Amino acid sequence: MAYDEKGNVVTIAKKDLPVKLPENINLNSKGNPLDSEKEWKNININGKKYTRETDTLDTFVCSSWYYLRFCSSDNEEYGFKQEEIDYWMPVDQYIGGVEHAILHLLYSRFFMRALGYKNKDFKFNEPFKGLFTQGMVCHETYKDQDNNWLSPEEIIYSDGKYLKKNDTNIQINVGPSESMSKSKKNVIDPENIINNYGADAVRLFILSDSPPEKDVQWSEQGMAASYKFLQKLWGLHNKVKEKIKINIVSSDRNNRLEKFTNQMIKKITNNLENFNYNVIIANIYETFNFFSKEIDNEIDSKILKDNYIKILTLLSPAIPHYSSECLEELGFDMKLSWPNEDKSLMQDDNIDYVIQINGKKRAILNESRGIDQDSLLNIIKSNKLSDKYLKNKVIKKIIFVENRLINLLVNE
Amino acid sequence: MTSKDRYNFKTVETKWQEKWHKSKVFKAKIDKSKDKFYCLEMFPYPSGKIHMGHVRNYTIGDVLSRYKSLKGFNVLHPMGWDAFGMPAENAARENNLDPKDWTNKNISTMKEQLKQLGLSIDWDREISTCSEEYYKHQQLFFLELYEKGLVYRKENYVNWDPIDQTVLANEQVIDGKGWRSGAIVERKKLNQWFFNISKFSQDLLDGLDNLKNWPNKVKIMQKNWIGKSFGCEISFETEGDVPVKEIKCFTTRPDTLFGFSFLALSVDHEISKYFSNDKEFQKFKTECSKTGTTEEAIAIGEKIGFKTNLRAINPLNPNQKVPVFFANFVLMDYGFGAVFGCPAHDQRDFDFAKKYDLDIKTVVKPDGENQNFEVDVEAYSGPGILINSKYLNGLKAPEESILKTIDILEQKKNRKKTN
Repeated sequence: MAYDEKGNVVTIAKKDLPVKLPENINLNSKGNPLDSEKEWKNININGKKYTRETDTLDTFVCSSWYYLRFCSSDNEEYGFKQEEIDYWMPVDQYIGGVEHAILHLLYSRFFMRALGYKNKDFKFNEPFKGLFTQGMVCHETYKDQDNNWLSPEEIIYSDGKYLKKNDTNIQINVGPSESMSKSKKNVIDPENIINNYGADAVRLFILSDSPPEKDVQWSEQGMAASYKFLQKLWGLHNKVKEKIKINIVSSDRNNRLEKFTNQMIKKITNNLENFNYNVIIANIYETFNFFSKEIDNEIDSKILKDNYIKILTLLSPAIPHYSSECLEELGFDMKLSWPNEDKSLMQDDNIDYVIQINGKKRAILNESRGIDQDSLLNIIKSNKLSDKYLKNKVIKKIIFVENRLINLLVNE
Repeated sequence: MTSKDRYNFKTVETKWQEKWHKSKVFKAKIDKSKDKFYCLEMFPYPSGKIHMGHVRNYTIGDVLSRYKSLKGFNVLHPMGWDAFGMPAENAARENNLDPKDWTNKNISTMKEQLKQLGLSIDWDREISTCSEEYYKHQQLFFLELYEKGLVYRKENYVNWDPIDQTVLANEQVIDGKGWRSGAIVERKKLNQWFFNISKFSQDLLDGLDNLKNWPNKVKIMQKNWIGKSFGCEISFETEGDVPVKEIKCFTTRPDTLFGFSFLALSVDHEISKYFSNDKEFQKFKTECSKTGTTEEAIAIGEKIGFKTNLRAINPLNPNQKVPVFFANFVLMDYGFGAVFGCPAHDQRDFDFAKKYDLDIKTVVKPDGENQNFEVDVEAYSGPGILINSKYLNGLKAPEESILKTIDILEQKKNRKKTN
């Protein structure tokens, strides 16, 4: 845009774009530095004098269409290629902070409509089909007695007190946990953390602590725990690897392992679809516990390997380096794909029920999930343990915890 | 645990990051035999180093991208830099650097840091908004939007810092002073460029209903903002001696509809064609052209009107029928060239109502006033509580009342459509 000598607006010819910003400009001038760049500002079009517009577009404009540019980022002629946005757009999942929930999203939605206005080829109205707003990362705040903010690195914790590291006579006031910000100095530098613990451990921790839409509390202990967990997982991996190598052929198909894996496929898939990423981390811990116990039993090597590969696949979105390394160690070099749950295994989806008589554990029965109290009671009655514990007794009260246990209170 | 059994994350992570980089596994190409999945995280401003908020944001996106890819989707997962901004200018000024160098250095630092996180990004698509490759296209868009009438220039009040000689955003004014200079900020009228967002305000509101995978709270925030800033369109049914069934108005205060007492049209409104042979109307039109078109001229100039025999019906109160005027203070480039008059709460409408002896019905009372509050010598356009508005009574204006009214109007419209 430019103005003639009377101040009328004229447009710069499209062939003369881009209007480049001048370099090496004096930023210490008063007002808009561009106003002082006379050589840049005063132009000549067809022998007539004009001055350039010196107001620049608000930076909001840049972020109002960048998602289109990604679809054809090397296209010279235009901001995007129609064919490419027709394939990729809209953004299926957009993820960011809620602080951009008003203006940035509104301007992007406007920009799509503006591009489509009087343009039949442009078929999109909405840029973002799905939106997810994640919570903030928070940390405790620290102040010395003179009300100066201190960073976590300047603090040590000893004997139940927070003290200043280089002068332990100074006691520190611990403030509420707040979103990390430079002004409050409650900032943890990701680079150090990644160097100390590794990317996968950081990913594991940042996902584990709370649902992604809520704020997460940063804690060094939590971070260290994630790191240790990966080490333990690696120990387990070595055991599994050895077990596969021994090459056991067993007629026992070890249904437990297959069923567990299948359940995990179902759980982790659901949790991924619903952004319950913190629950996925809990699922990974659960998997570790299960495998740690199961690995000491006799398992057919092929079954173990097949199921373990599935498990590693399930881990790979959260801890990709670790999973890739384990898979490579197993000699798995095919294209990885997400495992499907086996419906036939789901149909007899059984779990262990604790059977108590007068509060004492007397048996474990592997029965179908979600069984009701009466059916379970019938099974118990038809079981041989009934002869031993229930013969000639009256059941006075039944305590039933779904999917867990049943406690029969009987007269002695 | 022996050292051999230890998991050496450094070796493993570096190894896989290099592998992924070399084999370009995350490169996205169009493949029409597959369903696509476009996963995007808000791109960062290159302020220096990545922070934990970035780590969280991009980890979440990476988990999703990797999952979708394993599920068989053709995934696009790009990253770029929102690279224009005042921090570069300020850092450059403070440290006597070139803002371009400062920005590019930050970009390369932060890119390395993001790579260390092992993100499944197609780095071949990296963009930076401050590169000529990016902004040249944006300049073209701007020209296209200008040609389509979606960009216009208007005089507007701005916060002016007299020492720094610059316009300040509202956030840059602290206790009435410029954030950098400390000078007392002045109100100044300046010509500025605007995007005509309000042209699409109804569509921007309606579109929210189709966004099933957006958090409700964000949709509400969008609705509030659009409603507050851009208003909505209202269709008034009409009766009278010209063949017009309905007049569309645009308003930012639908909540004052119970204070409605006339409807005013621009002399250029399409209905004016029925008056082309009316000498009185032609005279009136000439008279109107003497008033300037700037907001200021309209605000201080005398309000004059030309009464038609049309009557407009209040959609919230069908028993109420009010006169329709052509008026000099309505311009064709605002809304649809038609506004509904609510004299008690708009000074322009108030002046007009006084002159033509129209009803002045108070429907908003300031906090602290009682129910019998009445607008007397001038219009009241501030916040408060709705009164004399039947089922809208008691709503907080404007934060509750505008959206509630839009909802009710919407329901009535839908009911009519289905009948």
